[in-house]
Parts: sequence; structure tokens; C-alpha cells
Amino acid sequence: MIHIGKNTRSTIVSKGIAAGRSDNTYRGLVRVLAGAEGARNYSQCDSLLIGDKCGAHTVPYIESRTPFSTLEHEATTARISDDQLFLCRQRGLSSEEAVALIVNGFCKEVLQNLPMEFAVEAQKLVGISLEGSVG
Amino acid sequence: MNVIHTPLLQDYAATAATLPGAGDARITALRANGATNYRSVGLPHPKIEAWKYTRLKDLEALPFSRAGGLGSAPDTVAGAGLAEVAARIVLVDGRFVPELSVLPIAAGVSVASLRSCLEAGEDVVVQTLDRDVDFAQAPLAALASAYLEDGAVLKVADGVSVALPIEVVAMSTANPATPTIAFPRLVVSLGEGAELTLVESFSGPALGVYAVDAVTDIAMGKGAKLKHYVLQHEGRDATHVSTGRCDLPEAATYEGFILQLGGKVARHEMRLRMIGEGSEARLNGAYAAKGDAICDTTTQVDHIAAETTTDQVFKGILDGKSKGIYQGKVHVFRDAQRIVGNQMHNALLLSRAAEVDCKPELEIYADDVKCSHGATCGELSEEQVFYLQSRGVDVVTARAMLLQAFLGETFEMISEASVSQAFAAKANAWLDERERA
Amino acid sequence: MSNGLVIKDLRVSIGDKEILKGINLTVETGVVHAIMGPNGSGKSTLAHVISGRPGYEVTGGSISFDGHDVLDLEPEERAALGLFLAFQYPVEIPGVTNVNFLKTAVNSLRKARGEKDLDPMAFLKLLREKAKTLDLPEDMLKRQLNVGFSGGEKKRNEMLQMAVLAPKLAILDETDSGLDIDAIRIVAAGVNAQRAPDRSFLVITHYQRLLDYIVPDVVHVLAHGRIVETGDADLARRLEKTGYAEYTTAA
Repeated sequence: MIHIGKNTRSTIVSKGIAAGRSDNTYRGLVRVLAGAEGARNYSQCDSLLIGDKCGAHTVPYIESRTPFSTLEHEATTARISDDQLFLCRQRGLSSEEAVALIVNGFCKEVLQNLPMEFAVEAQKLVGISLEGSVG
Repeated sequence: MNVIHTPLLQDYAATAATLPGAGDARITALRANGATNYRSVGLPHPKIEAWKYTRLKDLEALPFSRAGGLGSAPDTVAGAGLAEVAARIVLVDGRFVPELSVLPIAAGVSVASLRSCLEAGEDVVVQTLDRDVDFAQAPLAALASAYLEDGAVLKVADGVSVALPIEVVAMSTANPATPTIAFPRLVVSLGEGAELTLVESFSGPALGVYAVDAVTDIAMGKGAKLKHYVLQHEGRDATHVSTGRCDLPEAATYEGFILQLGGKVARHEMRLRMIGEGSEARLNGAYAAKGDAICDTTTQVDHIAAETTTDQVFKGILDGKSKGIYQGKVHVFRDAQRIVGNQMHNALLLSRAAEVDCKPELEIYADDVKCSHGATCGELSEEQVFYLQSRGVDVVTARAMLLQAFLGETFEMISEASVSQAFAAKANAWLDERERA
Repeated sequence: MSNGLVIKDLRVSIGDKEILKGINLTVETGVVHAIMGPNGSGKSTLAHVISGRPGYEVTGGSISFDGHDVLDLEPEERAALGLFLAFQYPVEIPGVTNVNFLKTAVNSLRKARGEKDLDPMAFLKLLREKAKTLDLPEDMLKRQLNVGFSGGEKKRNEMLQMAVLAPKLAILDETDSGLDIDAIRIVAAGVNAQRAPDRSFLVITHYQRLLDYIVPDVVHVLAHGRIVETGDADLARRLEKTGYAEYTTAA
């Protein structure tokens, strides 16, 4: 994300999910050039880890060459806790349904910005790619 | 294609044969390992991920040679400005100078020159040096090991608690005829349950080209408590690279602070390895740069054991055409469950030509972890300036107050009051000087 | 000269938008004026322009205080004349303690008046005394300026600053916003305790309820960037019943 013009704004929200033996990497550059006064960027990358054999990497590069800019970056990691799973299952969900539910909650912030058809499709894809990851 | 540039190795084989402990296979292996790695990587360049933002231009361009003997030893010891210390260890151009030092008399605390320990082949020292270092990312640390020669060894015995800080002052001289590089080396061994406050100060002449390539290796015993404060206030034309490494076994605690205020190109790198369960580390710092200085703070925290906690807060002020760099990597190993690793970096740019580059990095292989990092950069808040102005404070004072407060917050995290005050005073002096300029 | 605040035909814009369209207002020394009005009428803009907050363009008219033309003055110079703004949203300044902040402000104001710095002990005594009258716990003085303060604490802290800095004219910019009734009572008591023949107040508020506790001498209604009606405390009570509908429709 390269800010060249004045008063430009950008937001990056990345949600990474790693399950099984997979590794997931976010690598992102935010650069504000001299002259891009008033530039604002907010970037956020959240990782969700399912299981203890997977990995998450977050490598943000934040480079600013103007004082009149505001750049913020936040990253968090989360996992699906046993308590969350138990609650869902106690209420009648299978563990796969529970994972899908929790994962969809995790992705909601980005998926809800998609047009309806894509969002539904994306949700299904997330569900399929996580099949068999728990249990 | 990147050409590997490896200055400073002229006549290396002949020189190495004259260094202390040359007859000890373990020590020659350490040196050979350093030399081999430095040869294969060369001076840092942006293709080395850990050196993406910082180039040692003077080392690339000028014919540096190893700093010689004590040509002109300084008569005043320019330390951190602490009133009371348990000991003050002075290194000049990397060499231990007992005449300038104030050595401890307390039981269970010992100081020796690294040269004498190498000559004696002391096990603790040999085992503490260069543990598990990734030299591919640290060519300057490799170079320092190739020339492993002198420095200081500080040992605190099991259960001994040193009440006052021990200060290590590494001073450099500048040779007007030819630029020189010194390799100050510190080895610290803390026994089980021992407690120590260690202050490292790096300084040199205000003007004159020189370089420092310092390495500090720290080994801690179980349950030991270390406060480790680093002050880098080198001269304006200095190239400074320093590396600290510390391993934390079970229940050990580490509190670190890195204050960088000087140098033309300065980099301090701190690596903490959390190898024992329940170990805790806090690593904070502040930096300020002006002119065309480059100030780099790089940290790496490896969470190897479960239930370990680290917390990092760094703040910087960049003025003029200066460039500030913060790189912080938190690496959580497989099975290092229930760990907490947080890092935060805030930078203020005071000038249109200043630059800040920030790379907070997470590499996580365990799922039950709480890791976060945050980074902000911007200018002084106009709203805060106006609030102060509206209460009658003039704009210059208002800005100065806010800058002082910005850095001041970090000094409050230094639990050793005398060091907190001394560091705040150094930073405020820097701000005052900037104000007057 | 002490003829108070005199605003003549003041016109103010933000960007291309004219917010204040010719304000005429005189606040005499020792008098309490209130400015009421619907949201977006320009109340806060007026408070900000009087105190010199950046970001506004004065396109016409004048503001004088005790005979000084203030429009060309820096905010701190206006403060030195005795103008005080109690912020609607007090700013948090991490790292600066309340005590240090007030000490710097007091001494800056003294310097501007050609007086010597206040002795630190005398300052602390003054501060403690004022904090006590406002029922502020002493540890609040040592905390960082407004950081982690509740809404009520922030507003009480503004009152403390007012008490310590002892201005000639205090502008209260929607000090009641976000406060519950108990907090409003405390803030109002703080203001009332400081009413004096040589001190005037300009109380800006959306609601009448603050004026139940700080009874104004004069009430103005600001709508669409103009003062559309002026009266006494009864005007505020009438507005409580009728609302601002009659002003908002007449665009």
C-alpha cells in the first residue's frame, strides 16, 4: 500500500486461518512517501490457529517519510478454545459446525464487505477447506 | 548480483594466531566460526532481512583498521551519569582498563578481563560465548567473534544480590590518521537466584570517525533477576553496532531498556531466548536522532518454553533528515503454549525529511498464545499543543513538554530509580540541545 | 481597561462553509452569559474562535477582550489576557502529570504578566486547596493529564484548572455533555464558587438543565450562525418547554 497523494486513506484487514499442518503468512508493506501529507493507514492482521501443528507469520513493513501521517498497525492471534467448542457442542452443534461457526465469526469483518453471492461462496469455501481439521 | 564485501580481514590468519587463547581449540573454533561466517555474508546489505533498513556506509567506504593499543586513553569516564555504582568497568577501544575502573569488593561478585579468561580457557566463558547464533543474519557479530580478544567478564555467584548497579563503560577513541574499529566484548554470568542491575554505556569522542562492534553475552541461572540497561551515546560521526544476547531459564526475569541517542549509524540488537518455563521479560526503549543519523533498534524474542511472557514498548523521535528503524521479532516455538508476547512501537517525526521504518514481526507455531503488536507513527498532536497553549503555555515550551512526556513515559518503565533519572536526563539534554540548534 | 469581551459582526468559515454569519456579543465583566442553541448552530465554533483554536478562518468582524484585539494573538497570549476555555472534550496527554501541567501553565501566565515563578511549595498549597474545594482526590493531581479519567473526572479537572488559573473570562463549552446529574451539580458548584465581580462566564450548552444550577444573567440563542434571540434566565426555561423547533425551521 503506497501512499503518494495528499490526504489519502487506506485500510488493510487480513484474517489468516491456519489449521492442521498448514502455515499462513501475512507480509504487507505500507509506505508513505514524502509529500503524502495527511495520509492515514490502518492495518490489522489477525491470525486464527486451529490445532498445535500449524503456524502463523505476520510481517508488516511500515515505512513513513512524512510527519503529517498517521499509521497504525495491530496484530492479534487467537485460537478456538476448548470452552468455545464445548459451548457450541453442548448446544447441539457438531464440532465441525462449531468450528465453521467460530471461523465465520472470525472472518465476518472481511467477508461481510463482499457482495452477497461472493460472501456466501467464500463462507462455504472456508468451511470446506477446514473440513476434518478438528477432531 | 550482490558482491560480498568483506573488509577488515587483511592478514587475518596471522592476526588470529596472536590473539589470546590461540592454543585452545575451543577458542580458535569460536574465532574460525566467526571469520567463516563473516566471509560468507560480508557487510550487511538490504538482502539480509534483519538488515533491510540499515547500511554501514562508512565501513563500506572507508579503510577501517582494528583499533590499536591505548594510544590516547581518555582521562574522564563518560558513563551514564550514575551517582552510585557497585562497580564501574571501563573498556577503552574494547580493552579492559583496570586503572580507570572501580572494581567491586563485594563477596560473590567478580570482574576479570576477557583476555585473561581466554588465556586461562575458562569454561564458563567459553560456554557462554556465541550460543546458537544465526550469523547469516548477524555478520557484524561474526566479525566481532573473529577478533575475539578482550573485554570484561562479570560473574555474580548463586544467590548473591547486588544492590547498586554495576556499570560497564565502553569508550572509543578516534584516530585522526585512520578510522578504527573496536570490538568491546562483555560476558555476564548470573548464578541461580542472583540479582543484578547492569548498565552498559557506549560513548566516544564527539567528533571524529570511529566504529564500534560490541557483543554482550549473558547467561542466567534459574530464578535469577537481571535489569539490563543500555545507553548508546556515541559521537556524531560514529558507526555503532552492538548486540546483546540473553537466555532466560526457569523463573528468570529480565528487565531491559535501550536508549539510543548518538552515532551517525547506530544499531543495537537484543535477543532474548525464553528457554525455561515461567521466565518473564520486559524490554523497552527510546531513541532520538537528528541530522542525517540512522538509528536502528532490533529485537528478537524466542519463546522456546511454555508459559513465558514478554512485553516490549519502544518510542522514537526523528528530526532533520534522520531515519529511525524498529524491528521486533517474536518467535513462538512449537509447544511453547500459554505464552504472552506483546510489542508496541511509537514514533514521532518532527521534520518533513525524517523517515521511520518499522517491522514488528510475529512467527507463531503454537496455538494457545496471546501475541500482539502495534505500531504508530505521526507528528506531535496539534490538539495537545493547543490545549497547552490555551492554558497559557507558549508554543515552544508546549512542544518541548510534549516531546519530553512522549519519551518520559518509557523511562517510567525503568524500575531502577537512579537509572530512570539518569536516562531521562540524557534524553532531556538531547531535546534541549535540539531546541537550541 | 476592563470592558470585557466584545464581538462585532464575527464571520467564520471552515473550508468553504460559513459557520458563523455575523455574531455580535458583549460579555461585560462580572456577568454570566449563556449561549444556547441546536446542534450545528456554531456554538462550539464560537468558543474555539474566541480561544484561538487552529482550523477556523475568520472572514470578517472582530473580537476584543479588555480592549485588546485578540484575533491576531496566539492561544497562549489570549490565555495570558485571562481567557479560559473549558473543553468539551478535554485532551489526554500521556506522560505529563496534572501537577506538572498546571505548574507550567501557572508560571507561563505569570511570566506573561511580568511576574516571577510561583514558589513550588506555594503552588502545591494553592493546588491542594483548590482541589479540596472541588472534592478532587489528591492522587488525581499526580496522575497523567486526563489519561484514564472518567468523563466526570475530566470535567472536574477542567474546573480545577479554571480555579487555579483564575481567568477573567471562562468559556464553558458544553461542559455538561456526557455528565450525569450529580456530576453536573459538582461542576456547577465549582463554577458558582468562582463567580466574582471581576470574572465573567460564557456558558455554552444545548440543554437548559445546567442553567438550573448556574443561573445566567443573560441568555442568547444561537441558530444558523446568528444570535437570533436574547433574554434573561426565563428564555432558557421557555426553551426547555418549546425546544429549538421555531429556530431550526427558519433557515
